[in-house]
Amino acid sequence: MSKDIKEYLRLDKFPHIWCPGCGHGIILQAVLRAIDRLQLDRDNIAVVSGIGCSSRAAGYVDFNTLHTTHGRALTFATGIKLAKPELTVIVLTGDGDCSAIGGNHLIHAARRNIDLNVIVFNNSIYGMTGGQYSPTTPTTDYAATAPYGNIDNAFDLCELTRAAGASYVARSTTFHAAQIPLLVEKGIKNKGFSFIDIITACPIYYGRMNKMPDAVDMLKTQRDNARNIKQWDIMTAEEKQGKFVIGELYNKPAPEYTDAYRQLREKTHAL
Amino acid sequence: MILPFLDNSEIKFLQGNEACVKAALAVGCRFFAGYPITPSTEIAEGMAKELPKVNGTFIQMEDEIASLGAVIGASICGVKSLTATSGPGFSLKQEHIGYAVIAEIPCVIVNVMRGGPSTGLPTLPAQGDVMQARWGTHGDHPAIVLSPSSVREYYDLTIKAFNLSEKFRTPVILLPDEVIAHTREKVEIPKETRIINRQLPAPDANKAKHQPYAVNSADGVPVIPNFGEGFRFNITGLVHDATGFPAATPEITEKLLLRIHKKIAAGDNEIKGIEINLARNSDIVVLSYGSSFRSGAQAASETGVGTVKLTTLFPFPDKEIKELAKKVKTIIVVEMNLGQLVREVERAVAGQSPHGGLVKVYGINISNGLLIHPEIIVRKIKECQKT
Amino acid sequence: MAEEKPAASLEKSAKYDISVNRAWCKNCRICISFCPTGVYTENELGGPIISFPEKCNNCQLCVIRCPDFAITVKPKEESKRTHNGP
Repeated sequence: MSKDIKEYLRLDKFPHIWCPGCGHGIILQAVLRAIDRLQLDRDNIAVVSGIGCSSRAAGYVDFNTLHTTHGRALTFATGIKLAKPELTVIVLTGDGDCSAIGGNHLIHAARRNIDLNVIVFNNSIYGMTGGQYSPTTPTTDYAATAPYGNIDNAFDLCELTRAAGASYVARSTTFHAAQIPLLVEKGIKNKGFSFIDIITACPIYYGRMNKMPDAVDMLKTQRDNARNIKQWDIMTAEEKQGKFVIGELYNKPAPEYTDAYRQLREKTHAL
Repeated sequence: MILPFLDNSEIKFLQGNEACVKAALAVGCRFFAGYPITPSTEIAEGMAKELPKVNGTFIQMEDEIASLGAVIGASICGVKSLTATSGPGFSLKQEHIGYAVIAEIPCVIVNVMRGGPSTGLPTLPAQGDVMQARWGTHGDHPAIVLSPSSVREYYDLTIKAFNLSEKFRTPVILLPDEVIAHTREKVEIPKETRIINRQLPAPDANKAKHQPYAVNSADGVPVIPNFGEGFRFNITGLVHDATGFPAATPEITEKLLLRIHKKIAAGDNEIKGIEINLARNSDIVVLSYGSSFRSGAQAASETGVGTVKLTTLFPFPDKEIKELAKKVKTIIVVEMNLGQLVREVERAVAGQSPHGGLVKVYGINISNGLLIHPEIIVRKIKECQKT
Repeated sequence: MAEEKPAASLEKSAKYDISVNRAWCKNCRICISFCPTGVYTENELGGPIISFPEKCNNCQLCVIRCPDFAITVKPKEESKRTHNGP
């Protein structure tokens, strides 16, 4: 019997700090639903986050929670997973946190295929500092530090982590909230590096600067631009223009890092 | 065939960094994360070889920041953890040193000092990171900094570093210079290792009610559980209250900052590391640390003056230096930098006037990639002896 | 905690218990805009009024899309006996 999702919350910390219409709460709820579906022992779950709006999520959930430094959540998570491989380690991070200041850690954690589950609250903006452009802000969009339009190219974080060696890669949006728990569940079940990119809305900073001041508008944009992987595969390059793919994008089990280290230890015992 | 007398022998011919590895393993360190950098790399290499044999874990991370992140993560799970680096890497680690200070996570950081600034002199010694070790990370923070002057001392201070780190739940910085790290000496390895482990909640503690950052004892050290043992608490680098959750009232902020400072001061006797040898017929002492102390001691023995060796640089032994200032007229501070610890000595002796005159503090501060030659110190001592 | 429920007169015909935690709701209008059956209308702040609870088919979309964990939809005790709903 699944629990009321609120049982996983630290209720005394609510209401949360996120702005009206911010999609972070939708993602957090979806992650809790995935955990609930898996019936994991919450004593054996470590939730690690970095710095930024997304990373406040760790403080709201009743697990072993670690709020670390900007961009470095994956490094702490790596230490935790190596020290206690029996823990399920979930990293809650943002686009700036994991792909700008933490970009190096992201590709190397993926390369190792260490059993960490990364959920990116990808709102294409630095919300906590007031709306500066991030590595996932689309080119020509506006931000507090891109008052004349962004000239940077955006990262596709799923392509990036897949190329780097992640064994499970998926994407969804907060509009597709019902899909997120299924992807997170599969990600957690995957013994290896699982990367789940969730497109979410920051109406207050990103939206207001890009003619979508309303959370509802932003969700509609997600609905209109997201294409399921099956559909995506048969779309032409022209049709893909301005659209993005969601669903399970890559799922290929590969040797996991803490397993490999355990085997290495056994090898030295035999010496 | 293993000869029994050899088997029982604890006398080894060791390089400084090798002694560090041996000591870390002896005191129970079972996790190392690092990044290759001269002149500290032998520590990573040694740990890579030895840790898997004792069911420990070694990982070479993607950078210096990641290394200390992983070390803190492992320590949060209750595993004694070490990283080792040198100047440029030590600069990169500073943010996470601050994290370990405020989150009160035990860990040991070895910084083998080479010449700087920047890439500087990768293979040559210096003692230019003393003040960085004290003040490198931002904000008001305490620091425990130890510096060995021999391979045996490097061994002992590695053990001390872990013990202090566990006892006070704070990062400890071990600061050998390149000469000590790479010198090979005969070392008598002690057969017994004194081991202090962090205090954990009692087995019957109320897991739901336990406040990880509450302090109920005079030592000011909280009883923080390890991750994965049923406590489900929160750790943050934000200013936090006894529950471990962010809180930033002036009262909570001040209480936390004062406590993390006072817990280090409260343990002063445990942390202290100073050896004073006054000469019967001289009111001059040479004060130094690391390999510079060896030059200083040589010069002192040639000229008949006293010596002061510091193995704990911070917290600085103000009380002992003030006492010393009542007994001597001249303190010559020798260090391979352009003047760092000498300023602490000057600060500590300020206003002390033995024999009706103020204590004179001279610095021999040379930073050119070479050990300071005893002859240079002898010259200064003789100059002082004339006046 | 101010749990807001539909007016008593409306609640009778509803098959599901809908409640909005007013203390957590931040009036983002997501529930109102995306409810497939139009259960909610908007109050002066943009927050939801549970105006047509009888239209609710327990799809849970408002619950899972609520960023503030503020909405609960549960089958009514008696509806469990008369329906084969989820």
